[in-house]
Amino acid sequence: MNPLPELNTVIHAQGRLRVMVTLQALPPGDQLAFSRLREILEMTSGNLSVHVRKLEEAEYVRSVKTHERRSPITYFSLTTQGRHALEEYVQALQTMLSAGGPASATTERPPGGAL
Amino acid sequence: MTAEDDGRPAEDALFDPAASRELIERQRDTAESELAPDWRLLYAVWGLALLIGYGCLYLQRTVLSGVPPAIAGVAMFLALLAALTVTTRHDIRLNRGLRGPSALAGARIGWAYVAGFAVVGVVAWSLYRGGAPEPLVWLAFAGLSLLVIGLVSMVSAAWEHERLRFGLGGWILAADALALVVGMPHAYLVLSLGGGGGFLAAAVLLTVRRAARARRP
Repeated sequence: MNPLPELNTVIHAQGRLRVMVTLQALPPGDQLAFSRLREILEMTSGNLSVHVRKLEEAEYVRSVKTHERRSPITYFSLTTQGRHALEEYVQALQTMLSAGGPASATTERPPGGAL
Repeated sequence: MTAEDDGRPAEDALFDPAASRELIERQRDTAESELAPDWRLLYAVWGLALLIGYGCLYLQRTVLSGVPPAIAGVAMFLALLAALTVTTRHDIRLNRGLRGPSALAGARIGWAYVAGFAVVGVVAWSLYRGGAPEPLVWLAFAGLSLLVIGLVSMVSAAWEHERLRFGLGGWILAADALALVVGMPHAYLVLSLGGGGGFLAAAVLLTVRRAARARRP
């Protein structure tokens, strides 16, 4: 019998999982502003900043800082690595559910990530 | 449920994979409703606009011939204005804080419609100025407008791999061709039921699909 897959801890936190899933909904090449992302996720700015920083450190999310009408604005998008990591996470979850698995199955190292 | 760690290292605690999957699916639905065009709404408003607008024109030309033509014209104008207002508000809300190729492509498709309708107006005006009979001018105006809608729908849908919208564009062109064949005043009835009905049928189809997807375990 195959062992249960390990889950990526960077994505595993609920807040970061929601950030990743939301950014995954963007068509390739599109970017979402911090304020809109915060509004969709109904998170505080501080909370979202912390989650996004973690995801950037893992190279799952890319940010672009710019100015619009003289105001600073930051746009976010998923990296290719981030898309793959999320797909792998969902796949691992699916495997666990198929196996009727419980679980304490997280890994400290993000597969393919740089943490 | 997955651990919410507010940025601190995640607890390696027991969690419920089913609840995690549910969270992902719920968030996908939220993201889709926020970041993807609501085609049900857009098809419904344009379907109603064409149904009511061309319906009024048809009734004025047939059973309600006592009503001044201007009244039916104003009804058509208001129906289209309402649909355009809903579409514009929807696009502004959708594109807030969003940038990239798809937002740019959406804006360009909008400009393609504007350019197409402007040319339709010029053609109709040229026909009128050249002494073409009034029914022919109105037939050209209605027929060319639907040609623009059908063609832009098909081309944009082909690019985005949207089968339903591609089929709807084809349906609109077929209704348009039929309207041109039957001529005035019945062309208005074809455009009302065929054109408007096509959009409304697409809206209903999407609603049914969405409900079926929501029921899926």
